[in-house]
Amino acid sequence: MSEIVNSQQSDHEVRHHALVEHLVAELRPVRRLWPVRVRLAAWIAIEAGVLLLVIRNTQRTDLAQQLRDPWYLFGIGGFAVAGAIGAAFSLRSAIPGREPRRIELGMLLALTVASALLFLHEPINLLMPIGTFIHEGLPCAFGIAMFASLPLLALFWAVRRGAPLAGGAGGALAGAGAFLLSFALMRVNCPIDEGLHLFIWHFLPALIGVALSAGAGFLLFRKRSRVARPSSR
Amino acid sequence: MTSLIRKMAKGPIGELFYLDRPACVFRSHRSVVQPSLHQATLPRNFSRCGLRAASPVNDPFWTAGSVGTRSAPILVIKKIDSASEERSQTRARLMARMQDGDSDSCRALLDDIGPMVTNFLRRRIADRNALEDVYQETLMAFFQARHTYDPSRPLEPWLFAIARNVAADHARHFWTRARVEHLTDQMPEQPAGEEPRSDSSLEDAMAKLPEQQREAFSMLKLEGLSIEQAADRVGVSVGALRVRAHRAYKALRKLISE
Repeated sequence: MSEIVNSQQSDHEVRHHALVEHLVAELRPVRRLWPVRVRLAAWIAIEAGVLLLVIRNTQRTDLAQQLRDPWYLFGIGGFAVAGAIGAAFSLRSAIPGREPRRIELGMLLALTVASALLFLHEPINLLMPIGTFIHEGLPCAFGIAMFASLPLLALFWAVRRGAPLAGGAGGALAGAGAFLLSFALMRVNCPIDEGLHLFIWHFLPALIGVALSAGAGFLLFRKRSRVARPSSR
Repeated sequence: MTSLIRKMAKGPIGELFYLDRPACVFRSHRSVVQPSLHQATLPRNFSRCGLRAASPVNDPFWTAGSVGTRSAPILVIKKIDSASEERSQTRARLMARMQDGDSDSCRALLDDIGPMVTNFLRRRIADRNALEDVYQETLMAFFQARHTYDPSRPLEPWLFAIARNVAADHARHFWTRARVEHLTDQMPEQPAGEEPRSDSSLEDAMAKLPEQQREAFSMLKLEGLSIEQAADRVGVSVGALRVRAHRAYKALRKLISE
């Protein structure tokens, strides 16, 4: 019995040394990731750029007045904060051992749901002709995707630079960061404050965007084996 | 953890207890455990327990938590081995140098973390062959993800997150495969009319098997041990031995039919 254990032990050591020598041969200096807060700040700078663009080209004529309405501010603020938190979590998900915990994810979800519940405060017009509803809504859905595209690409690039252990979760969090903030930007841009419009043409496209990002993350953040296994086993 | 708490609850209130392993957060209606491991100072509720520390409170190598009922809290203190703290810092330094491309540090670090990773994985993977594979995968993943390590943080949580993930991946693949393959500890029936194989061809085929598979086969089929006895003898789980035996049967069938 002890002979078997000893032979297994020495076998393990031989393989370990072969692997170590193989990895040492592959060793190159690497550029460390910037800290999460620095990368998050860079991402928020991108979002700020998009916000400036939105404010300059907004279709709202009552923005100054709306900004004094606490419901409007809570709605925008809730989604903006949720988006920033989602982005921070996605950056953390690219570092082993620093993935967001369940309670943190739960808080992000709760904040998103609470912000979405503010739609109930907006009036709902069920008498609008379906054609008009679609005609007014499609540009908003397109806008959500447009506003999210650059921040999403930046987040995907940043997450891919790291080593995400769960690709789908990393993608979903990056999507949450980009699309929830895009939702907030669209509230600044879109002059329609109607509950059904906000839900169907703003919120649902953002949710679909998050789901697609999760799928993209699953495919893009798969573990890539850049180091071949040592041939001797 | 439950037995640990029971043991604590029997002790006199006001005594210092030592944790022999890291505790997990545990709550129930009867007891409250809030360990705050790896923290530099004792928790705030330390003074509320009415206890006196056996060592300076600001000693950086103390870790503490409270165990007991709300009405009778008991403080649990463990002194972190200062040598292990030092080792951890050394690992972080080696890792930082490894990130800069220092091959000696890389070698030293991989040799240092090897046993730690093996022990960590051994608790999750019973099969020795699989353990070896997962071990290699873990070290390779560790190597590939080295740029994500922040040298100002301890290395171990980062390393164990990688190891845990690789082990979880392995478990997922194992169960997916197990759903497809039918594992059995019985040799397949020999087709009627087929010539019985000679012992020498079996011996030749057995000689080609990996050692662990040969061992499993020989214990089950030549020595006639039950699968439980064989697993007990080798020191692996019944499931792991069954997998080895299954692989041995498959390999033998293939080798003999060639």
